Formats: sequence, C-alpha cells, structure tokens
Amino acid sequence: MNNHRKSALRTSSGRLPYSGEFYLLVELGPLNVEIVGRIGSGLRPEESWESCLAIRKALNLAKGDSPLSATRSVWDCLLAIPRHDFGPKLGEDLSIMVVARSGEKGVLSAVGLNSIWSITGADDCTLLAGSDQPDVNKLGVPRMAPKALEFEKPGSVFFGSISSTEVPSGLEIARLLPVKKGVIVDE
Amino acid sequence: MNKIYLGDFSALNLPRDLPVLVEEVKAGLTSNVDLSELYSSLASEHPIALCELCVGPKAMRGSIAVRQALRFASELEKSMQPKALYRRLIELGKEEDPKVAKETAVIVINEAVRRHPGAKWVLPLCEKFEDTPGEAHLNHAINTDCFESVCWDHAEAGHFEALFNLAQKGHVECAAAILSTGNFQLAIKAAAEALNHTWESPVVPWFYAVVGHKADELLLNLIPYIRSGQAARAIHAQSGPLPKTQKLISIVLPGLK
Repeated sequence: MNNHRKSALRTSSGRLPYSGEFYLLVELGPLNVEIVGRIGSGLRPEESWESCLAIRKALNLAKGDSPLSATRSVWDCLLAIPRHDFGPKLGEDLSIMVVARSGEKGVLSAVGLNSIWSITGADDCTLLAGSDQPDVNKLGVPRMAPKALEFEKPGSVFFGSISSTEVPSGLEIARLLPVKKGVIVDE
Repeated sequence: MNKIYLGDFSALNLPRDLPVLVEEVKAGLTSNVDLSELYSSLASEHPIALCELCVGPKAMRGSIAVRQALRFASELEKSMQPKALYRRLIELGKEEDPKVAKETAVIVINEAVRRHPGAKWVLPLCEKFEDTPGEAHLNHAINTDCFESVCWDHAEAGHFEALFNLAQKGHVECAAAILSTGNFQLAIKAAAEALNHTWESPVVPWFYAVVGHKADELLLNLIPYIRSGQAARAIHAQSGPLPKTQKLISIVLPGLK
C-alpha cells in the first residue's frame, strides 16, 4: 500500500490545527478512495473525535468497481449516517473531499470547501473550484451526493481549503508531493 | 476604639485629610486592629481615598497592608488596570524578610488569577515569585473556558512542571500543551500520568488535534507507561484512525488487568 497521502485539507489555524479532521483510505482492489474532511469546529477534540470515528466507520463500508461507483457509494454511506452521529451540529459543519482513483482515471467530489487545488509540481497549482461554486462551498451534509469531477491523471494530488482560496504554500505542497530522492518531507 | 477604625470619618475631611488617615491606619496595623470596617466604609464612601491608601504613591506597605488591600481588589480595579494593580501590590508587599515578601507576592498572584484566570500578564509574575511557576494560574483556570489557552500560554513559557503536575490529576490538556511545544518525551509521560489517574482521559483525540496523524508514531511511546486495562481499552477504542497505535495496544491489552 502506498501510504503517501495524495489528498489533504489546509489545517486550521490555532492551538488544535487537526481537531475534528479525519482521513480514510478505502482500498477496493485495483481502485482506492481517499476521504479527507473536518467536522466539529469549536468543539473539544474528544467531542469531534466521536463524530470522526462514526464517519470513518460508515465510510469504510463503501464499495464499487469504478471510481464513479465507489464515489457514489461513499456518499450513500455518508447520507445514511444518523444525523446525531455527526455531533451537536448534526453535520451542518461538515467539510469533506472524496477522491477515488483507478489505474486510469479518477473522480473527485466535495462539499464544504472554499477552494480545491490540483497540484502537479512545486510551482504548479491549478484552482479546480473556487468560492463561486455553491455546490462545493456549502458546508454540511448535502441532501444528495454532489456532482463529481472526472480527471485523467490518477496520480493527481488535491488540496482543499475550508475557509480560504489562498494558493497552497510551499510547505503544504511539500507535504503532499511524493518524496524525491534526498529530500525529506516533513510528514 | 478610635471611631475611624469603625468607618466613621466624620472627624476627617477626605481626601484632604488623607495623611491623617494613613497615620491612623499605620497605627492600627501595627497594633493588629481589625480594619475591615474602615476599609469597607472607604470603599463605599471614599473609593479614591481607599485607592490612595492601598496603592497610591504613599500607600501602606508591608504584607499585612497588602493582604488587607486585596480584600478590596474589585474596588481597586475600578481605579487601576489589573496588570498595574497587582504589580503594585507585590511591590508594596516587599518586606525585609524576603520569605515573607515572596509569600505575599504569591497571595497577590493567587488573587490576580482568581479574578482574571485568562490573563497573560500574570505569567512573568508567576515566573518570578512562584516555586513552581504557573501552578496557581493553572489551578485557578481549571473548569473555566480559558483553561486550554492558559495551558498553552504556560507551555510556551516553559512552565512544564506545573503542567505536568496537573496532568497527574487527569488533565489531558496539559499534556497536549506540552506536546505543542515539541517536547514529545515529556508530553508522553504527562499523557501517561493523565491516563493512569483518569483512565477515560481523551489522550488520543488531544494528541491528534495537536499533531495530526503523527500522533500514531508518538502514541506508540505512551503504551509502555499504561498501567491499567481500563486505560488500555480506552486507548484501543479511541485509536481506530491510528493503525500503529491500535496494533500495539491490541498486543499488550490481554496482559493488562
């Protein structure tokens, strides 16, 4: 298994930058689904952790034989979670990005993000979705699965930000790009 | 008894006669007279005179005078910024005996943090006068909304002993605050103490909240310190997203009662 993450969210500022963050890699034979998200802003870590565990447990059941069907399955699993399992805000504070990849192509979908970037190199970031995409920007568990974006390069790296459209910083990029020979990535 | 000591200032014209009042109070303090009525009356009738008497340029000095003044901290804060007030009181509490002066300073700090648990300006005072810097502040901040930020402030100031002592009472926030400074070894030990005191201490969520998935490697070092099966089961239940931690705790779990 390749442990290197290819999808990430900008960490929140403050004392507890990873509070309420969850990451999950669901492997389905030749394809895999990376799920990264955040919930429970303002809650104590132990409270948001419970929501994260519930989400992880539910999304681990996702199935599929193509990136698109796996993505649909992830959203079906998410939408089936009882609202109270999302914590005191009943999922209204959820941000999540789902990236499914096979050997040939991939599918990306998300809610609760203000920007999504595709990163192909240290100086090569492309804005895929900005703050003018209501479907992507709207925080919280959606009523139905959001639209999915297909991409051709399965090795693509994606970076989402909940609150800003700022270009990913050098450090944020370095954490996501594969380790080059002789270069230690701070992970 | 002198009428002034009973809060009757009819013989004085305040604040003009403040020097007379100061002399009376000095005499009263020397003979251990109970001056609480005098101070109370000043607080209600002549707050400016009270302020002058307690913290003004010619204020009463010494431990007893400062302790008396502290009883009217809320009144004094109306005329002086808390940061300046408590510094001034510590200065006024300086005695020939440094031990007494230090004790008085700690009493002042305790009152300051009781009234202002989230204040950052107390940190240098804690550092200067407390044997375990941060102890009073952290203890007063427990169960307040600012406890977490106070822990972080003291961690940043390097007040690890006080944080560690509180972690030993089950306060996982203190271990997380130590972790945030990069002092991983001490943070692990503090987390272990928190767990061994209160097995349900949410160590995993707090460590993850500070360092993200790096917590998985760090928490491996915590496991050898775990003493109880309950604590081990709690870690097991919390550590689902951290595969290395969960694997190791699964191995040691059967050996813990």
